[in-house]
Amino acid sequence: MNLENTQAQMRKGILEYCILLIISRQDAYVSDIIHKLKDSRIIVVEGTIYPMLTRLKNAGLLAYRWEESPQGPPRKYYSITDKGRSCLSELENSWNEMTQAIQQLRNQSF
Amino acid sequence: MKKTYTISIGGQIFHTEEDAGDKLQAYIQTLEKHYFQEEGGQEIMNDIENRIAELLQEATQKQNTEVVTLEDIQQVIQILGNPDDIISEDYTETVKEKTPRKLYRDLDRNMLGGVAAGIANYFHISLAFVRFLFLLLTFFYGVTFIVYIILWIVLPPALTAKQKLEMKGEKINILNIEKNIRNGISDLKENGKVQEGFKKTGGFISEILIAIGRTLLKILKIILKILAGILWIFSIIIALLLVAALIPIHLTGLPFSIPTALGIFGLAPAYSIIAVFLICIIPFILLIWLTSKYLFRFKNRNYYFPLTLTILWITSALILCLLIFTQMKDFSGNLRSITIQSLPISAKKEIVVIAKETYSPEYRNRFNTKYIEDKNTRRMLGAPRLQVTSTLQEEPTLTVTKRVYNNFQNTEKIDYQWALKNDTLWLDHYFSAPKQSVLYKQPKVTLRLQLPETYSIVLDPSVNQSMDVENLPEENRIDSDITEED
Repeated sequence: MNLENTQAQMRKGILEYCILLIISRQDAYVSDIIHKLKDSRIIVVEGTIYPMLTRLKNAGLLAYRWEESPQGPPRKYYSITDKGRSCLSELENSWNEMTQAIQQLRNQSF
Repeated sequence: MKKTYTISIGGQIFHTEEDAGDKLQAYIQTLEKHYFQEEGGQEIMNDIENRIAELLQEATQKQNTEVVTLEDIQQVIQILGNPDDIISEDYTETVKEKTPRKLYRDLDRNMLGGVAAGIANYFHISLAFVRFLFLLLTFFYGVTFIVYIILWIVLPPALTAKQKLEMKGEKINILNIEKNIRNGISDLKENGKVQEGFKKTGGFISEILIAIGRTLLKILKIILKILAGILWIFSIIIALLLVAALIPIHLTGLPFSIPTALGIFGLAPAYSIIAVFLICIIPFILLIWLTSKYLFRFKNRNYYFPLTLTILWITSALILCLLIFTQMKDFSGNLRSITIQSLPISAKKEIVVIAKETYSPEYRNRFNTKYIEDKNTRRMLGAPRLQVTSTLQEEPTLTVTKRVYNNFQNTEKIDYQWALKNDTLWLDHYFSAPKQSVLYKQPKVTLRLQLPETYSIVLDPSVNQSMDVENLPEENRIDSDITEED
């Protein structure tokens, strides 16, 4: 098996979940999101975030508004929608299920 | 010192050094290629570009500089991420990359030329099925075989790995190319022997076809040369004949000559003769030139020769048209002159007609046209025609009709003399006309002698000897001259 491939797949899976999670707590700029991710030790480049945000917005899970920033041009300020919240809770359920399953497998001794 | 680009990105203007600008452009283009494949792509790129602008703004302000350097760009890329990282992390929802598909001949799975294999690849159907279809169609419509041959000739074989992938409609990327090569090697091991057999027969047949084609081509070339040769000889003969035709008929022995032909149509000036000559001969000269070039391989770069000839031809045609036009315009000229004279005869009511020899012709040409010298000019002689008929009028009349056939002649220049003395009508045996008349349709003089019923006529034998005499059965009234036989 290709280790890096699997690892990348794992990251891809949870990144959207993380983003929805972060924004659900508080409306955020892109830089805020990246900082929070870094704080949680998820390393990701900005370039990956932008497309993800746009797709989530196109899917109706996020919304944004323009806000003036002190450093010049206005920036997008993302917030979660109701649809996004329900999607988030679904993801939470799936996550819980998976972690439970893995935990169980790890605990079992053969 | 370096050159700079001035770029605008995210709505802001930056000055970047040359290498920085190139790198930034490459970066953005790579991302664009990836993201523009989907619908929201433009928006994603806008966000990214805005962010880049933000970062560049920070960089130039911090360093207190006006110009973006390569390091700045590299830093931006580090922050935003390498294109490969971004794209590999990015999952695209069922983005169909366009797999280019082109129709090639597949030489790896071929029996004859790989036409069937290529088609099978293109449509993703099985090769056996395609072959079966071909055979079936050929059975019913033999044409199909020819179609196959045409496809064989026309379609290119898929030689490079890229072409092979295109042929099958598979995505062209490293993975596929690698797979392709691996497959090729294993295929070779499996099918080598079976394929060889088919290839031999296929190659044999194709060789035959090629050879046939080559021989046909050679035969065609030979036929072409023969035709050109015939054309060459033909054109030379015609050209020579035309030169001979320049001379008026009465001097050469030919049945055809340009001046005479023109005379019949009423055109005689020298330039019309030349015009017609040129119009006729130039095409043949050009033909000779062309065929000579082809047969004897003249590498003639001379463009002036055919060009001048063509211009000459056009000019001649124009002149001729002009002449014909003016000729037609004046067609209402005086072509006929009629003089009617009544002849007073005594009560005896008998008239004697004698032909008078006024001229003795000085010489004759080959065609027996007679000429005389008259006041230092030469004039031609012609015999008039005499018609004798009855009339209801009381007195005999003589009608002299002089007729010319084109505008270059004049009836007034025709001279005919006669006299009535003592009940005797002396008719000149010749009329005279300008010598040019011989080039045209010759002028005619007709004498009509109309006698009342009670009169009698004595025709001297000289009359019959020198001119045509006709007895017209009934009275022809003068206006019906219009329909007279000429």
